[in-house]
Amino acid sequence: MAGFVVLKGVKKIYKMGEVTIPAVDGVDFEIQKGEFVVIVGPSGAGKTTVLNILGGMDTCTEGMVLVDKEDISSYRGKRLTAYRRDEIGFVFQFYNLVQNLTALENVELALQICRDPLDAGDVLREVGLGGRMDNFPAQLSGGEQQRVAIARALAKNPKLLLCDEPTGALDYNTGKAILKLLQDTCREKGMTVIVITHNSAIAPMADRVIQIKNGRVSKMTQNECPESVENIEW
Amino acid sequence: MGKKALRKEFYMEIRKTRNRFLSLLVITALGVAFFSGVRASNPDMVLSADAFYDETNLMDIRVLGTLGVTDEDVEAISRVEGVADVMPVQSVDMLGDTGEHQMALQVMSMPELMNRISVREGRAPQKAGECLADARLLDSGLLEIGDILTLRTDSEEDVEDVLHETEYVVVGAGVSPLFLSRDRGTTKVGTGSLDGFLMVPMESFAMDYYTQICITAQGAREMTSYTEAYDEFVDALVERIETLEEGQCKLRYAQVQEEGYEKIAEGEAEVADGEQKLLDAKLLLEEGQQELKDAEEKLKDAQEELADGEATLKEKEQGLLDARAEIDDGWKELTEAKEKLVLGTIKIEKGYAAYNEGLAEFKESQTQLAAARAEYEKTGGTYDRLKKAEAELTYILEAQKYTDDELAALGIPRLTLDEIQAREQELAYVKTQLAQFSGMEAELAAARAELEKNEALLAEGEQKLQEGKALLDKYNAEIERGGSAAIYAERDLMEAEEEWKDGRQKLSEAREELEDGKRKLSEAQEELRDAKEELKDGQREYEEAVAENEPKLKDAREKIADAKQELQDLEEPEWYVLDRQYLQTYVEYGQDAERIGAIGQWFPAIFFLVAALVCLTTMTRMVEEERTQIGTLKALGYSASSIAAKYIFYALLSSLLGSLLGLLAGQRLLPVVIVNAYRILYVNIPAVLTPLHFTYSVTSAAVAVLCTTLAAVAACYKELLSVPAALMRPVAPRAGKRVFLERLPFLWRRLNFSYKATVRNLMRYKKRFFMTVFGIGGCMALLLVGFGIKDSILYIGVVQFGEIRTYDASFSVEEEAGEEEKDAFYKALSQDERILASMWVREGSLDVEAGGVTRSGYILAPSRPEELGDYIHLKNRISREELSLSGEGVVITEKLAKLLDVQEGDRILLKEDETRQVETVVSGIAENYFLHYVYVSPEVYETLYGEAPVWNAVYTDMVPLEEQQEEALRMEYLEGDTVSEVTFVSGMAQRVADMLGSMDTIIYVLVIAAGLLAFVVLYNLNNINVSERRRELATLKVLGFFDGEVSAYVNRENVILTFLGAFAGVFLGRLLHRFIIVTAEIDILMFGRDIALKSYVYSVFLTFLFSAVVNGVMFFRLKKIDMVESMKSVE
Repeated sequence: MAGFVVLKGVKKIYKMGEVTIPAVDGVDFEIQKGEFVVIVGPSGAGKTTVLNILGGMDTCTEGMVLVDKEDISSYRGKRLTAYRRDEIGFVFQFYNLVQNLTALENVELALQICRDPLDAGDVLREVGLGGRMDNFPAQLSGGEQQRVAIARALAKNPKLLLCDEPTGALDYNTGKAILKLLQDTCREKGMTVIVITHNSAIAPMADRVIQIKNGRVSKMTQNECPESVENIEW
Repeated sequence: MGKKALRKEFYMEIRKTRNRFLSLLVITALGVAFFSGVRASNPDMVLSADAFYDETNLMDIRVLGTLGVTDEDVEAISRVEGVADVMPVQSVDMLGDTGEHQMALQVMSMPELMNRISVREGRAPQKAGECLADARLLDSGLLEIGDILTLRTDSEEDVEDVLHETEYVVVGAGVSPLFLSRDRGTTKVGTGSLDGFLMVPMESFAMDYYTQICITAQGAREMTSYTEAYDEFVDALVERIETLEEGQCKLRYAQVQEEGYEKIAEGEAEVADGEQKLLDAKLLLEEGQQELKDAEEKLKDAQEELADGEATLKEKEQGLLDARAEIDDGWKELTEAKEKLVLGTIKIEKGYAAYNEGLAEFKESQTQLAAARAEYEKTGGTYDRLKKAEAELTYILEAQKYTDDELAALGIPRLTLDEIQAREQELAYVKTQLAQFSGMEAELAAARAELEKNEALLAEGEQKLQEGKALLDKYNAEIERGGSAAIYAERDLMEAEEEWKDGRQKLSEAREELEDGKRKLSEAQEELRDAKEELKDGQREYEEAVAENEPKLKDAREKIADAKQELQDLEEPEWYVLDRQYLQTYVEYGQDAERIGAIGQWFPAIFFLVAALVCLTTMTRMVEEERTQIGTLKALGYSASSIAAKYIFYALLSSLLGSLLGLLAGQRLLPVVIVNAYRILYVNIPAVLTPLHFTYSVTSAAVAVLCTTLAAVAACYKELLSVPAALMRPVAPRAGKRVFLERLPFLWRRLNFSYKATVRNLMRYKKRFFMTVFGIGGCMALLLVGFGIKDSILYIGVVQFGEIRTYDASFSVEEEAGEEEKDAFYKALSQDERILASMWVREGSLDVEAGGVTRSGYILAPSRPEELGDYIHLKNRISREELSLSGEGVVITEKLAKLLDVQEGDRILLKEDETRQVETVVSGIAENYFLHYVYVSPEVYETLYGEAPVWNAVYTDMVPLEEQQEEALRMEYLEGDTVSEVTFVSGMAQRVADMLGSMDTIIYVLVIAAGLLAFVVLYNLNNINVSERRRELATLKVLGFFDGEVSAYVNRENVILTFLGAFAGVFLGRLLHRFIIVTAEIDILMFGRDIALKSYVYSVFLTFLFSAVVNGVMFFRLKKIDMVESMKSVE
């Protein structure tokens, strides 16, 4: 069975005049639907580029990217944007909330462009922010902000939830809580979640771990029984 | 900036952020350009005029004398210290006529040294009878080159007293520095306003004095007109010239007095001459009468003589007849006498024959006797002789015995003894002799006695013979006498005959003469009759001459008396030493330049303010962006000054370059545009000078550079105070805040989500909000000003000629036209199908004075004030109240009221000249945009001036006409002598529209400036906005917002800001427009105060267009935002 997400020979090569720098140099992997995937690798290994390509924020120079049987590597411009808005939920390291909008409004911001959104309030309650919906981001803690960000991503009801170092700016406990939220979301909603991190310690909680080094997949392991976040220490 | 790395970084920064650098540069350039450009317009106008004045050598001072000025004055003034040149000038206002057009002209002597004419067409006049005309006269179609112009005076003064020639050929056209504008001022001739000047050679003037002396001051040319330095310099010279006044005026006074008395004397002589002539004529007439009388007398004499002559002639004829009879008698007598004479002659012849016989007998006897005697003598004779001698001697001797006395008594001489002796001897001899004859004595005695007896007989016979002979002779003589008498008588008769013939001849001649005389007499009578006739004629002529000349003489005598009085009353003349401040256009131009200066004082400040604000935001943002770098450098140990130097130099460089660009562009371009717009009025300014003005350049550049640089310093200041660690920490994003609107849930809820975000954003970036509103507002204001100025000027045409002066044409009638002519013309007008309605009016120029301010305007009295509304719509602009001419007082126009500072109910003075002025009250103030008018009802006119108005124009409403039809109608009415001009309102409206053509440039400039302002401001602020919110926008993109949606998210804010800005701009623009219109408008015009709706629409449209263009550009910038930005950590 072909994967829900399939990358085949994906290359991203930047040309700086004479020099060509391959950021991603032929990545192949497959991900099944509903998996919690952690992509780990050191800084500059190309994991963010892979995420960008997968999230429709960037295009690959070579190769094929299939998401739910659609080859998005050929998408450009509007089509790519439409792919982003309909298929992808994105969680940033620095939450990227609009400071001028309340938690609810930040979620709504995503919803108003979406074809089949969930109710913003429900989602916020689900992420545990039922009581803080009308607060501005500045009035929320980092974890709460990230929850809003996750709610914003989830409310779009995406096929893929992409998280770029979601805990990078959070303290240990909060980070754990966020990871738990993500894991729970994956498990409860059957959402395919891909988390990028340089922290290989969290790899045990994933269904599938993809290690990337120097623009290539150095190792891909499948955890038959992933650990719960609570049990992981780092 | 000593550090190489930093320097390099500085250059890199500029290269990287060239948009920001350029926008800073452009905004400073705009600010500086407007600031220095508009300010420079004032001095540039002055300099342009000054260059023209210098080129034409405009006089600095002129001297006018109340009694004129003379060569002596010229001489005296030229000696004043500081006087460069002196030029006497003649100038007289006269009426010119080409046969087709009439015009009021200021006729001047062709200037040479100063006030030089620049000849536009043709050439300067070179000889008498040529003239150079004002180019304005050609422009207005009154004259063409080659036209012949006849000049006359408007007063009683003879043209010959002013000019030698009265006809002039127009050989050229030109402009004079004395007249910069189209307006030529007022005059006493014609309609009251001058149409132009006319330059004729000085020699053409017949006046023996000059009207003025023009003077240039040494060194004044190098100074700039309109400056204080120039004014003071010239004033000093004016004062020096004024010191001459008293002396020169005294001289002139004496001269005029002398001339006057000479003239009076001449006049008196002329009058005397005239009187003498009349007297002579009278005498001559009398003489003629006398002569006629004499002639009549003579004629009578001649008649009498002729009658006498006739009588005499008749007598003579009678005489002639008598003489004839006498002569005939004479002839008869003569014939008879002749017959007798013949008979007598025969008898005498017989007698003579008898006598001759007797004589012969006698002779014989005689001879016998003689022989007898001779015989006797032989003896007896000697004896006798002796006896005798004896007796005698004896006697004498005897006597000697007596005394002497006795002797004497006897007559015997006393003999001497010797003599006695001789005598005694002699006696003795005689006695001896005698003694011989003693015996013969008896015989002797007998012979003797015989002899004696015979002799006696003979003697007797002889006696008888002799007697017979005598008788015969006597008869013979008688006959002979009778014969000669007859001859004489015949001769006499012949002569008489001759004489008679003569007489007859003479008589017939005399008759002829008499006839001749008679003829002559009748001729003479004829002549006499003629002469009488002539004399009568002469008499009549004389009477006529008297009738004619007596009043003239009387006049002349009166004039002489007047002149004497005048001369006595004559005051000492005065001088007016006037500098250029008394040249109307010079002053007006200066005032207009000052107006531009006033605009330049405030108007460009908007640009400056915006520019300064933009710079401040830009620099602040720049410093904020580079916060981390500043921190890093600080951490590395760079000093605050070297870090700040980058930003300060960045600002300095951009503002300096911008200033330079702005200085050049502004001071070169803007004054040209502005001055060109003013050249609508000041047509004669030949070229616009646009030098760079040091002061304006330095001040505006300094202000611009300082503003920007200080903004940079201020922006750096805060950051530089922080510690490096704080700087390297990301600045906490500004917290979102609830806005005021959220507290109005009924409204807030209604807003859709995007607008909520927009509203929050607007409130969040307040600085940007206000700056954008201000920038857009400025742009909108500029556009409104641009279009509004056009509206305001257009208003003159549209409202003045479309709503206020609604009549279609005015027909001006010759001032001299009589009532019948006028009636005929008006009748023709009323019957003309093209003319719908018409009304007589009185038009005239006058000066209106109030509170010491005087303005020239026109008085207008309609013949039917109640119908005036059909031709001229009088209403108050502000109160919208309709005005009528009923009641007391006059209605004056708005601008006039404003200039004179009078309100309804105030009193004003109407002056036609110094002597004719009346005071009245203002009863209303009427909307009006062009020229000044005083409207007055005929009743009020009559009370003011004491006489009913004399109609001199007709206002008409007409059916719509094409231009050619108008021209045809005009020519049709101009053909007669009554109409002097036909003016169509459409033509006037057209002229105003033409004026607008050049105003377009100003509008373009303002639109471009507004566009630039809008663009720079919006672009800059958007740029900042986008860069500030780069992360947010990237996130949106990641969230799947399409590019359009992202830009809509941002642009929504811009659109709202543009709306708000435009709204603010309306108010700002109206304010600015009003300020500019009121400041810039000239006296005779009132610009419209309102901006047309259309202009608001245009302005808003353009503002949104500029905004849209900027947003369009922003769209691409937004598109370029990399989503990867969203991954980056907060800076």
